[in-house]
Amino acid sequence: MKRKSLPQAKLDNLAGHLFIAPQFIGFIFFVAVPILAVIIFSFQDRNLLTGTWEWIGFDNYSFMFTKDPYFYKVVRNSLFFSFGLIIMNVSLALFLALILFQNRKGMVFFRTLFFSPVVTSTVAWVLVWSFMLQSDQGTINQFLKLIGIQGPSWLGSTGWAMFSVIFIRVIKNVGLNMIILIAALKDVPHDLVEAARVDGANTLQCIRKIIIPMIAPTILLVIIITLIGSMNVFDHIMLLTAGGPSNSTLVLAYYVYYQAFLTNEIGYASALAVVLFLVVLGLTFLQWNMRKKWVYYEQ
Amino acid sequence: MKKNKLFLVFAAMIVMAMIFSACGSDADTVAAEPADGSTTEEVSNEPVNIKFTLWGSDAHIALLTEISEAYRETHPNVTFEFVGIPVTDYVSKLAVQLAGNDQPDMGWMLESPALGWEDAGALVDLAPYLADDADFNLTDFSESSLSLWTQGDALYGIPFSTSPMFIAYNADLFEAAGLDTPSESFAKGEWTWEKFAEDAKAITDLGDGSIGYVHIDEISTNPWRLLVPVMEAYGGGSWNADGSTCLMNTDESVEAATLIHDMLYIDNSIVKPNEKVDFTSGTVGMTMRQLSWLSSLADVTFNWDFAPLPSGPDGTKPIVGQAAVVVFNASPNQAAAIDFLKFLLNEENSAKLSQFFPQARASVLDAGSIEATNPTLNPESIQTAIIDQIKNGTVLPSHVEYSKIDLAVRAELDKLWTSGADIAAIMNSACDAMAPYLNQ
Repeated sequence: MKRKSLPQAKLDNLAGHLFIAPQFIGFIFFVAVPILAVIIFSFQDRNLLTGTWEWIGFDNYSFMFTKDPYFYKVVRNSLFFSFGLIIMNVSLALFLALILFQNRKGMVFFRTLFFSPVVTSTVAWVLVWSFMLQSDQGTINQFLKLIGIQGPSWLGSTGWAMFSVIFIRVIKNVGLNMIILIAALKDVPHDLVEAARVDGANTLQCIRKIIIPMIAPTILLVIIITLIGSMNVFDHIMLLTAGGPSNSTLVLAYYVYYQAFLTNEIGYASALAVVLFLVVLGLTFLQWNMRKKWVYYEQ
Repeated sequence: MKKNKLFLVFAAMIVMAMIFSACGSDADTVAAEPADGSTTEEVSNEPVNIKFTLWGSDAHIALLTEISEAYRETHPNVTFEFVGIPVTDYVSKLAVQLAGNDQPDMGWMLESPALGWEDAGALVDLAPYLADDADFNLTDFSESSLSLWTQGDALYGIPFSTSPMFIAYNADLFEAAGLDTPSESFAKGEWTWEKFAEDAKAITDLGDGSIGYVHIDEISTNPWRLLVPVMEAYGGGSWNADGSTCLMNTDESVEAATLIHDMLYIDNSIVKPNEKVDFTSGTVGMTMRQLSWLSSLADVTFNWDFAPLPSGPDGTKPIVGQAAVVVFNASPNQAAAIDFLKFLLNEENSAKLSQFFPQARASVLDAGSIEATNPTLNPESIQTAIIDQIKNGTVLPSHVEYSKIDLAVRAELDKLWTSGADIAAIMNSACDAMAPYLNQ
């Protein structure tokens, strides 16, 4: 009896599914299931050390919003860090991209220079900065002393610690956003800018009225990526300040780690992680919906 | 059809997540017996790999490896994996390993989180296995040395290090400043915290980049080790013996904190928080350390020695750091781990460990055993700064809610590390921050 073969469309379909199966299975086991497990943990009082647990319903969330003395400070710190990072990072990346996207001599060297911190080990990067930011012996304050300025305790004062962490992270990652924006700038039709110049527009007007609107989708993408990364900041906080001084740099991701692995409250830490997930999701959703208002050009 | 498929995928994910989250036992079914159900008489002959976590140096790991090789002569089926974890991350990484089912079988445990781990049921009760073991001879350990690891009739750890804190000093800098060394001041009965502050200032005033004192850890992340010895000597402290009352806002504790603050911001004789200066650089007069650290001075080019902690208005209050060997309840090899613990901390091997760690065993604790294994150390310093201090030493503070107290109090103590701080107000705030956890 002749075997019936599958129609070609079904075969194509099957082939497509087989190609994405490894990625999809990996996503299920290593992303989706752990996320769902964390949500389930958030409704438990779970002992990290012994693995014992019991259902406590919404008690973790109730404690978070009504009794945790640090929660609202942590959220404020996280939002301050995120917005500070986005504003500094994106504006600096755009500035650098506008200068370096042109094909002139030396541009490749400077693009490499600004991108090199991106590929540097975070631990090495932070270690070097922790030496540079020492209040007495650090390079920054030694230089300021030469010009007659008494530098602050960059990592030891509540007023400067958050700014210092934001600055270090901006310099580490701005190169990545710069490269993305350079790619977008190269796609801007040159004749549009030429036409604007013919009509009498100066450089600033060309940037504001032509170039930025044309690359607005990419700017939105950069902001979203930077926002997601900033809300998950952990390594810089852990290595530089451990949340101090006086919890001024205690952000949500580090607080989740602290609750989970230092106080062993894995259930409560899971509830905090769920809140972090919802905050990032909410902010991303908000930005995505606001694109209709300020992204002028979408392909 | 597509919606049905999506529903099935999502339902499968929920089921997998619930199976995953059900891993671990229900709160009512914590095992009270060793996981493998064996007793010390029934140590298995099956191949066993014991994972042992510690924060030690390469020299410490080498010594433990040597001891484990001797154990393997009579237990060839047992292999060992010694996992070194930096002490600053030790507790959190241990917790991560336990949570990730990559649990160690046994390892070292610090004094500060000890009560919390005991209370959580993470450690095996060793009493049934050791109390009647004549070879191990538990009575060789004093009650005070075991007090931190004892809860009722249960015994959760055996100390391998009961190590007094002392002041290690750069003798060359003291000579350059025209000062008696701390050992000489101690011999004259003049070694007080005020003398300590004066000496630190004199060394700083040499003006050649030298500074009086550098702390063992980053001050802002571990202020306890700097403040507790001084507060205790002044008659104050962190909290009382049963952990129910804060002592940081007593006049004595405030006076002690004021001494340290003045050294930092008036005399400028202590390396400030976030500054990175090492004692081995030869530019620092003094540091507060323990015996196991002294091996790192092997290659320094200056003369050094060590002396007991200074005394205060409330007398001499030695402070002891203690660490124990524990067996984790999550271990699938508890019987084998307990058997190795008995071997590791028997009299013979305790004598070997004493080259780095002052032992709690009375039969081993004498200057001779430390001197024999540390021929470069001054025997008189060993006697005065280590042996004589252990007997009356107070272990560094521990509490069931230590990690929560630490988070709460450090946020207040961070305000101490600025010039012009209102010390009494800050110490009061520290007690207020600690209060919710003290009555647990």
